[in-house]
Amino acid sequence: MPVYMTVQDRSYRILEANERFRQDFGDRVGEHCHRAYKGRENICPGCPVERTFVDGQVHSSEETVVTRDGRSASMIVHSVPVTDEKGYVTSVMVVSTNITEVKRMQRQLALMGLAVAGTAHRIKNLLMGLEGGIFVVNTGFETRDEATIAEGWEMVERNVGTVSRVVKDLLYCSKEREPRFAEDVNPGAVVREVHELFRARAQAEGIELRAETNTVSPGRFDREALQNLVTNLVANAIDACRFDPSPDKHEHCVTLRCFSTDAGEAVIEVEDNGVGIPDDAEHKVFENFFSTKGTEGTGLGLLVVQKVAEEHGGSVSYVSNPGRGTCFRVVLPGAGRSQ
Amino acid sequence: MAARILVIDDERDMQVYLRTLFCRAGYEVEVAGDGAEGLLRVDSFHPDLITLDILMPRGSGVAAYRALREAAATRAIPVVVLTGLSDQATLLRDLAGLPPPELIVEKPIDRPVFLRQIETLVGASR
Repeated sequence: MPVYMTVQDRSYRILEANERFRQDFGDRVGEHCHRAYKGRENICPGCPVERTFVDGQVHSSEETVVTRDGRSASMIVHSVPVTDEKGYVTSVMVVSTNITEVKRMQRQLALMGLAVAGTAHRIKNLLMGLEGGIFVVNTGFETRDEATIAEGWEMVERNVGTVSRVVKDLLYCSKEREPRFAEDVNPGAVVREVHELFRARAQAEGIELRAETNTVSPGRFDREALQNLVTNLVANAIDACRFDPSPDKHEHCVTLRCFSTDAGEAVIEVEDNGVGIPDDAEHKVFENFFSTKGTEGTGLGLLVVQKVAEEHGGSVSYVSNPGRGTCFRVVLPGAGRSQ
Repeated sequence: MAARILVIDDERDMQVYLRTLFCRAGYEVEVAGDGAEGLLRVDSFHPDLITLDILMPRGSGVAAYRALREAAATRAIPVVVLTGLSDQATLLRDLAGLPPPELIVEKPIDRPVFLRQIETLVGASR
């Protein structure tokens, strides 16, 4: 874990800094620490340095700071008094440990725990479908009714199909699958393929599936993973429309977009005008089986989306308006993953 | 005459499963794929019992339940609500203010127990 050390005087100006600090924050000696760490004009609320100057004791706090390349980082900050021979605090040494990675791993671990619980629930439902299918097949055999046998067999096949999708998603969420980046993958083409794949199914549910793709330069992406990412977002969007109880919406629509930003990033958006994410479910969106009863999604979908985005050095965000719809946005570095 | 059960469910698996299960137990069964279709079938089929999936697209399960409970002609037909465990909270919120269903069955279904419960409810309603 990176550790930063700086020494500040009573006016919060940085007098000294270690090499690691210079690497990640630049040469900020002479600047106010609140400016160097957070870009603030004023002293930070609850500043441990201030408290150490007041009482001469060691203080600590947890802070979110911004590094020179614009990334935010979580830090555990300790402020230690530096005294002269009379015990007067002349300056304060700040030792900050960057715990961003630890926090990410903690989150990941919590997510995995939830995914395991959710998967168990999902598998229970699938087993019920399989068991039901077997019951129907057996009934067909007993009554020598071929139509019933066929119906039961269809149930078995459908549920086995879903099992394989759940397993595929689980593999994506685990370490089992290493990303396979390839050159010249066009995210726009991936979006168009998924659009083609889902269009007829969506239409059968009375949902219009639109694709708006602008020219996006091909780059180094994991094609299969991107396909999985878009598929999961579209499956969720279709479910959000199917389970929309709103009687006043005349038509449901899911729009897939792929475009480049001015900064050259590749953006994939999936927007629906479905049920929206209820406020009480919002915190669970990336963490859980947020399919209340989704039949398209496997329930692990957003975990997959998040993992794929992170593997590409990108991010996922969403805006949702309960009752009005949701828009998920994935931002990927334009040229894809650097080597 | 065999007792009649109307299955209102949007999921194909449940439609096939419940129809097979009830037919095999000697009931006459009809299946409706959403709430609106279910209400039409109630008028023509005159079921002795209805199984209803409460969580169906466009809120049609809750709407059908409300309609069944509000109309004098259908109020007395026992309704069995089938639900996954995770739907309980939604279910109670959606049905607030209405008389509760005669039976709420959590999936997975325990077949022998379920059939006994159905038999009792049908017997009482006929």
